[in-house]
Amino acid sequence: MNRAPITVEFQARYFDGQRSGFQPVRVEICDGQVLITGETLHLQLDLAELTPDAPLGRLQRTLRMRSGGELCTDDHEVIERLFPHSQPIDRFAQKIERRWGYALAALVLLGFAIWWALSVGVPLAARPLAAMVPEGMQNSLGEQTLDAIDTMTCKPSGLTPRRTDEVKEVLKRTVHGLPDETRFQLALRNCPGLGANAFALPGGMILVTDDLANLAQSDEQLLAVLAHEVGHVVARHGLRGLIQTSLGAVLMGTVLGDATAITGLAYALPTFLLQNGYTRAMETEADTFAFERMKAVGVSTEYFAQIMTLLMQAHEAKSAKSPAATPAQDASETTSTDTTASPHDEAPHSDSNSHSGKVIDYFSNHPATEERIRRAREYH
Amino acid sequence: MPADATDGALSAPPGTAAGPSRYPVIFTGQAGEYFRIWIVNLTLTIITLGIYSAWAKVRRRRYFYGNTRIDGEPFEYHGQPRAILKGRLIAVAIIAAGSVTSNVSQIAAVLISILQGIAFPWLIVRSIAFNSRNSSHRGLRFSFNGRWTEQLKIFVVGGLSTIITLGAAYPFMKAQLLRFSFNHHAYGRTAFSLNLNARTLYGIYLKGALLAFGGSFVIVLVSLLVKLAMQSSMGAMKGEARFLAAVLTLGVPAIYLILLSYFAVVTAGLTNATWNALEVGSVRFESTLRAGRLLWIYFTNALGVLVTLGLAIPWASIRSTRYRAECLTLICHGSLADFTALSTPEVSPTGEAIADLLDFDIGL
Repeated sequence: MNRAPITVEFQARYFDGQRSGFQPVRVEICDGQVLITGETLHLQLDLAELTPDAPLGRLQRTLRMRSGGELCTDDHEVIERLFPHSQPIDRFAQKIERRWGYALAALVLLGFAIWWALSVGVPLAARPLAAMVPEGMQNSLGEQTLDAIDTMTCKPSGLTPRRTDEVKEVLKRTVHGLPDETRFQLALRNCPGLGANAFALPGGMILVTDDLANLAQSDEQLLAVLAHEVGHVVARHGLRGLIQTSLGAVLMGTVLGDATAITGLAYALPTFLLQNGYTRAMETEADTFAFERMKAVGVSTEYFAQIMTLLMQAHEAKSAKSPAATPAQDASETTSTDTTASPHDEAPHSDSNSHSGKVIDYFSNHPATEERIRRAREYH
Repeated sequence: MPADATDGALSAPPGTAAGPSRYPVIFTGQAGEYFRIWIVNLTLTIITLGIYSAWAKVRRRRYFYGNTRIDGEPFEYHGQPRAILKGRLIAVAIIAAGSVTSNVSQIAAVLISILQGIAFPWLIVRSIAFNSRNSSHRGLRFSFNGRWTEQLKIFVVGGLSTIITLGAAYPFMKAQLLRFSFNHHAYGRTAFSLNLNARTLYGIYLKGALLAFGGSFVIVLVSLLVKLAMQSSMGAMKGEARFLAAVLTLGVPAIYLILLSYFAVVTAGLTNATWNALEVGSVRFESTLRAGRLLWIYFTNALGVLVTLGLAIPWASIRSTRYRAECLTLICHGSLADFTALSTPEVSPTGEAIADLLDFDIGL
């Protein structure tokens, strides 16, 4: 065999794979033949018997032999020259990872992908998933929520039997002609802590506070609120909120996967903000449903605008009475939608509220009340 | 590569007649470099709808292994992305099949959950074995030969006694689990030996529990005093409302702090106790983690991650790994070059991949 000129030569550490000691060696490669020489070593093998590991950061490169031995070197350049086509995926990753510019581009791309997934993908996926939940499960979820509300914040209703019957009649009128209209049940409660409010519970139970029943100046105004809540029920918003929050958490958990449990705080905030974004979209959807329903039963959407104005005034008066309580209470109301069964809070968080409530209002459940009133007036 | 790694390989080991030699564990990972790897991992994983996650996992692990050095020599991770990807696909298929079947029939659902209960220890054992087999140092592979039935026994007996004793038997089970996972490990043909008894762990958990109870007691006491003070100065109604706001703004972080302290005390205690009770041939370990320092790292990590909306995660990981490495020293009575190999069969990555998918944390 003719001696071909030496093409590549480098220093390495040779581990034989049998002992944990190594020898410094000189590796010469020419014409596909590898010559490894150390103090007590003389090895000759085919280049094809060597497999390089993938490049990663400043880490040393390792060439693995079929025999189980290893050659370790910091001569990255030589390995690149010898194996220019190995590990294409890792090589591509390495190329991007080396530059800050690419890393920043990846960051932008990632941000966009996450934003898209959370704002479009998750709600899109939650709709069919919510539809798959069996009716029975939804009902028991609603009952549990009502139990929780009863034990924590509300007392039995103090309305007269006559007024109770009237409100029930309004609900009947609201849902008249809807499929499965008997599932819509009324739960009247006296909840001073919640003010004039209504909630849609999963399954079809609609909770109305005494304050709201007293606030409404006409049955038509009450019908407007009930129609909005029925909209939540029909579109299964409670369930959808629940599913969206869990999906979002799973997604963020995957993204932040190698963080420890402690850093879980980090996605509490985005999830919280998103949850409120999701809720806003659902409120708008429920409003639209309410407008259509009102039209269907022959009630002008002007009544919607009226009751919204009344609610806004009532809540402003309430917060003016006890300014200190406002931030804490607003916060607890907003976070209550983060928890399991998400009752839908009907209280408009007035934007012209006290200074301290401003930040919280920005994240509040409902589209600005004025905007909702405007939509009701413009709806035809 | 430090100079001492390239020369003197065959010369006498540093620890000669003079006594054992000490080798600090050095971690050379850098936050900036790892940030770029991390962000590229995430982006490619999302763009490829998860397929790249196998490569991401290997690159992440290799980065931490390769930057952990003893006597100048890095650890190496040999897991193959393609194998891991295949394992993950199988895992997804099994889980999907399981959930579809359990939707169809109630009996199937019950059967599947029993199977999953049995599969759990199997998965953990497979996962440990796969990781171990794919880790090496100085050209020698690690291995693990624990049997999943033994793990299952520990889970069943230990789990039941933990429930019956309302948690009092937990350190006992934890000691058994640690002994199980360490004593079945080997470096080359040299078996690990962990001399850890439950009594040591009781001490650690007791310390953690006392801290948590003491902390909660202080919080309750302080809030009662504050409440009384507020009510007497502002009147009952207004005081009540102010108090609620104060509890929400101060009480919640205080509870987090207590949890974090408990976690730091237990982690520092367990890590030190485990390393200090471990022997691998002529090598012993000395771990000197301090709970206070660990708490500080956890706290600032959490704060940093929170403020940067997660972008500081790589920095946080590098920092805590560096501290753990800093606190660990090998004490070698012979030579690090004298370990020898043992040939073991390859381990399929399916078990590990399923464990990974279900997010089991196996902290070895």
